[in-house]
Amino acid sequence: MRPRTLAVRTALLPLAFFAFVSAANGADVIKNAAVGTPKIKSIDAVKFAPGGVLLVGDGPGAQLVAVETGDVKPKPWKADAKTAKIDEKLASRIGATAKGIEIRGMAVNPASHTAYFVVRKLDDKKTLILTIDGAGEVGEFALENVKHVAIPLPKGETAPVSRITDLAWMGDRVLVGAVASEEFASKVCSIPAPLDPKGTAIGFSTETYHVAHRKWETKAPMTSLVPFEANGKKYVVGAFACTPVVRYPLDDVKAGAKVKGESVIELGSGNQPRTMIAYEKGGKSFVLMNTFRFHHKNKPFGWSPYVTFKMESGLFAENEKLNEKAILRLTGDKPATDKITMVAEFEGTIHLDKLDKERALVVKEEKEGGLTLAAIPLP
Amino acid sequence: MLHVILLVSVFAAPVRVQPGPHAAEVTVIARAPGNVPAGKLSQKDGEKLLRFVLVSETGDANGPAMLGAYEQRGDWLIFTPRFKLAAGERYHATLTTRTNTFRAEYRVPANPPTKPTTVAAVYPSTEVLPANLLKLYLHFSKPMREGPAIFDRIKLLDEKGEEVEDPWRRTELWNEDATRLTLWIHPGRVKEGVNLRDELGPVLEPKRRYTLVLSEKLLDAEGRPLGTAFKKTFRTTDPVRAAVEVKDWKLTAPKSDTAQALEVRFPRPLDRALLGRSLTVRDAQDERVPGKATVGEREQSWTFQPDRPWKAGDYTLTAHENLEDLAGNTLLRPFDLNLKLPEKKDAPRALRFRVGS
Repeated sequence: MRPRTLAVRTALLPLAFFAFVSAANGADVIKNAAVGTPKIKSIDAVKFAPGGVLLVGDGPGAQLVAVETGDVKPKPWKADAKTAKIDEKLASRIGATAKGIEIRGMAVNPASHTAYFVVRKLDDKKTLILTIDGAGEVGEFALENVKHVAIPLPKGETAPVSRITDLAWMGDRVLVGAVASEEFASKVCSIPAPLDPKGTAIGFSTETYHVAHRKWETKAPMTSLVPFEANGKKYVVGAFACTPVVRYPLDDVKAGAKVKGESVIELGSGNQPRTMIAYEKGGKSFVLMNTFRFHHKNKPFGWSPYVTFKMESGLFAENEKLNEKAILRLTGDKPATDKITMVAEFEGTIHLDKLDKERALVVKEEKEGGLTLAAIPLP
Repeated sequence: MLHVILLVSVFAAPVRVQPGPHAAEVTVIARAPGNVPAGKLSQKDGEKLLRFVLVSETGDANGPAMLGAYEQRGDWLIFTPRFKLAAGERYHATLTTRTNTFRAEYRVPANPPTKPTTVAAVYPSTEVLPANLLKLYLHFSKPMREGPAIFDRIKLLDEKGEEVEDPWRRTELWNEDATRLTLWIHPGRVKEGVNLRDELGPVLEPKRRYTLVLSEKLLDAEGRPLGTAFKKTFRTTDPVRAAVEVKDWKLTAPKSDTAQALEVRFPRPLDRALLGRSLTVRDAQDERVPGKATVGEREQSWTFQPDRPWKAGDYTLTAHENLEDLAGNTLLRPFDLNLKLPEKKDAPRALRFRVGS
């Protein structure tokens, strides 16, 4: 049965990013679930599927675990919701100092608007999920005695998956982007929905045209994924360091395949993408991407190495300007297009997700120091 | 008698923190206010009565209460923190009743001093490396503290002792117990023609001397610094931009009815981690020969000790096509190959050898 997650289409553009329907049932997302404590070695990445289903990427355990949170009652956030020293607030709830934890990731449950944080305790290396709801209440989502499915990822022939970089709910499958510790390789796994422990994940690799060096590049691992649909075809849009943004067709992907992508955007060197979110505003659809600028010392774009780009998603449906003709953000130091802009309000954004139709939730570093959790209007 | 008095006074305390077998695992025991029903309490209800809080660096004990399990047992309200406490930190337990507030303090002892963690090995182990070196494996004697700060504490210095700018791909890749970090030189500065290399230049220039420096401030899992910086000096050769060729390997076949090791020598060092898992020995029936493989000095040789003596016959040593050298070149292709050209799909992967008397 196809999950009741819908692809939203605008009247103007034959393209769309998948939206969540809060009424969708977690049972449509997972099947043959067991109640118990999943054996998770480390939580690398989290994302949400509809119905409050939390997707957990466990690289060292080479598995995807999908958990019914039961957290489906909307708890709206205040318009100007802001929590200073969010790292201290999360850490103290588990008896640690801010220096004693690392916030590894964040995903907002679209059913409840509760933020789920992946937190690593640095002393015993345990990863856990802490939550903050719209009222600012910090809790733990314990991965114990939960309704869940665990699906193993295909084993690498030489180097196994070491870390999961991102996850994407595609409506009919989950995509998992991964890297290996010993191989510079793009590893992507596709797991059909409903997610079933008896189901089979297939692994494939991607070929990416790196605009800057005008050669095919098979090996660069995707660091960020977002699902996309155009003209009735499904794609995943992936982003890489230095920074091509590439779409990959997914309709006929088979195990072991090399899927050729088409570069649609080149954001320029020195950036490492972290997260992409899709949204609509004023009848247009956009993708927001925060990146870590490792070129910051040499060529800063602002006070923070964390910068955020807004891209018109019409660019992802491009059929002419592809690969070496892909649209560049900059020509020299000057903007080459008004369809890709840097968003000053999001400067310093380390973690990013969509909070609701109008706002993003971010963890951002402050110029004066410290980390803040804030709800910011989508640009 | 003194013991009895102490015991009574302890039990009389309205709130106390009882360490378990491990000082970081405690139970907070408080005299229960009269109106609380027996059994488990929610975190929200429990916190209204009893809060167990980390004391901040500035001495503030009014932060968020720790998460844990609350239970009313007889006259006592018991709180068991869900997580281990942090070594060396102070905690306050505060019991609030209708008329009073009682407080108990607990300090977790700091971790006892132990031998500092050291850098156990760095691979490639050779001191001569190609200018397009792709990655290093850093092995530590104990688990290390993870987190992106590590990339700022590992430097690469040139011949003048000046720091090479932004050399690393800042993706943390640890093994499971965090005793090995795979440290990638940024591939965007290794590949020719990539925008990052065009702008910043390569990390390593040919025929130069560099020093890899792991700062003494690098922290192990318990938060202790290494104490002594680790340095590895090496010089660079020209880049190697050619596929790994099996035909160039020198194989020394063992004799039958012996447990002699099969030895293979490579013309240039190969990736240590991949080498450890990419070679297999099969007999004439294509059955895998069980045995123990060892990577040799400078990662330029590989030996295979069979579990049982060799039988006379034909064997094959097979390499996985993704086996890499130090520059990411594989059996299939150089790291820098223009993929508009056809891939070398029929790259030889096997060496045959005969075991005779």
